Amino acid sequence: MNHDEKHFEELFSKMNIDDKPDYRHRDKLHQELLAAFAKNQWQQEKQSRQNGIWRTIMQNRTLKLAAAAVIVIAGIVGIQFLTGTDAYAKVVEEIRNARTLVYTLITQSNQGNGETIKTDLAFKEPGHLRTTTIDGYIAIVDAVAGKMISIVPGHGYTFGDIKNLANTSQQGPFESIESMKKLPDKADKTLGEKEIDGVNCDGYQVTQGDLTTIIWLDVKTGEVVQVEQKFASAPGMNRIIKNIKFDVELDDSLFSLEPPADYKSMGVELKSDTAAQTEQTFVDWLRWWANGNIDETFPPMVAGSEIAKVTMDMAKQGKLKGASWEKVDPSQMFNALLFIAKLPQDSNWRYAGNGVKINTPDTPIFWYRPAGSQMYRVIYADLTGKEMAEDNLPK
Amino acid sequence: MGVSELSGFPFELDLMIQAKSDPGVFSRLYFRHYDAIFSYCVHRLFNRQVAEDITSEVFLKMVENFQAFDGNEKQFRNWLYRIATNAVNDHFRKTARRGAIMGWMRQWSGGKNVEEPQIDESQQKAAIVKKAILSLKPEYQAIVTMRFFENLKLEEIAEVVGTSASTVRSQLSRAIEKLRKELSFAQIDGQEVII
Repeated sequence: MNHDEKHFEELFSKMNIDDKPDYRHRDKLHQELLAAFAKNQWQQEKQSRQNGIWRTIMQNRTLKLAAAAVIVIAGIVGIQFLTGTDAYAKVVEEIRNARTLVYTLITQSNQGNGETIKTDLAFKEPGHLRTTTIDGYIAIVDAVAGKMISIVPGHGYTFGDIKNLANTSQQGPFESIESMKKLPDKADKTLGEKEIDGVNCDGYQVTQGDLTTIIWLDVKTGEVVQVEQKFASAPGMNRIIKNIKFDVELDDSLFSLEPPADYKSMGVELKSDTAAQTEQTFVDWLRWWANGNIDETFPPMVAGSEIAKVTMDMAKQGKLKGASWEKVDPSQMFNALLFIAKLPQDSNWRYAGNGVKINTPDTPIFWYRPAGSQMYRVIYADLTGKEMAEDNLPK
Repeated sequence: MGVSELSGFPFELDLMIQAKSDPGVFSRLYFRHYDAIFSYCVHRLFNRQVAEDITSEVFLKMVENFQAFDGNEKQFRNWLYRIATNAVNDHFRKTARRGAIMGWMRQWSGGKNVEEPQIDESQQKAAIVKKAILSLKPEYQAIVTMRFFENLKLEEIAEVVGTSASTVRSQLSRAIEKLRKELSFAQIDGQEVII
């Protein structure tokens, strides 16, 4: 430092500037930074997962078309749980009074490659549902208004307008959880203790028709730790419900049907009438699917969010015919899955079309009992249908 | 944990990697640099309140881009100074614009400036020095502050402002010359003063 510089250094040091940090500001800012740090980390992880999937989807033309299907399916996730097939008849009154519910649903498919799908759900009276898949797809449904929005973060959104949603015969996810809370008193059998996520739990098992439910309760608190569901008619199809919380504060903005700022429409608008979806809708879609993949086989599954992953996997493997997928009508797939979603709980529907080639002779691929009927409807691989008594159904 | 020193500050060599995934280490990094950045801001702005606001802005901007930052702690410190320099310069630009508008409005409405409060001679001298510093170009102010208030070496300032140490030296000389001129005309109560 030369003479001039020393002079100025001395001059500045005499200025008596109040430069002592205020640690209240430092600590307040620290809290803000930690919140921003956590948010950024979460977004980064989500974005990298999403980018991976999105890059894969957009790699070629066929995959782009598969993406259209995935967007539709994201919406279906919401519908599925408003019209789910797993509700119990009895509901505990005090739990029924709960106004909000959040939980994580993990489903493992018995079809395809046994894909596992994890979805976070938030429900708020009256009939608002938000689902978020691990890949970042968001579906928000207003069951009362029959409106929904499907959001692909970072890309765009799709609106859905679904008439007669409230007329479906199933009870919603709220009631299914509520009824589960009551189950320990009525359990068919107790399963003893098991440690789940580091918590000692007592297990209770209840079977109702097609569905077997196992409830694991915290030994100390009695809180529900995990619920497992298995379906007799679909071995290998399992659902696990975790992180269940009642009456947490859920801001209305979570259920807003307004698209996020800067997001654009993905050019697809789903308009559907639940009441108008018939067996024929479903059969038409099965035909389209079988003709749209190189193996000419039926879809590996016909319900749930699992099909999204399967569709992407098939596209990645080059199993989808480009020509068919160029003419993909998202509404057709949506309506077909809506037909399944609206089937009554006691329809006992079963799908057996995985890997079956279209027009394979004498091969049943789907059967169900229509509402109010004693007889079942059976659909064959040539896409003809006939009525059949329960005793004659395929085993 | 390895340590290297520059300007008396013990930089930890592997802190940065851990800080990206561990909020505890990230917090430590923040606490290690908060004082320096606040100090730089307050010495540039001569206003604690605004300095706190700008310090917040600097760290929030840092956290936004932290995952993409690829450097050691010394480079991190320089990066913070760089963000702070830009934030302060932006602030000056905005307030200069606002000041010009306010001045015009006062003229237009026939209003007068608020009377300055009474201050003693040492405070008046400090005010003159502040005024002289603030009369410099923002780029020179930054160099003067980093050199004389924060005691950074020329090489370190060069890293912050993205130039060579020799350029910093010549800019510093020009800034000192300008300060000397400003201060040589300084007056208190109509009397010339030597500062």
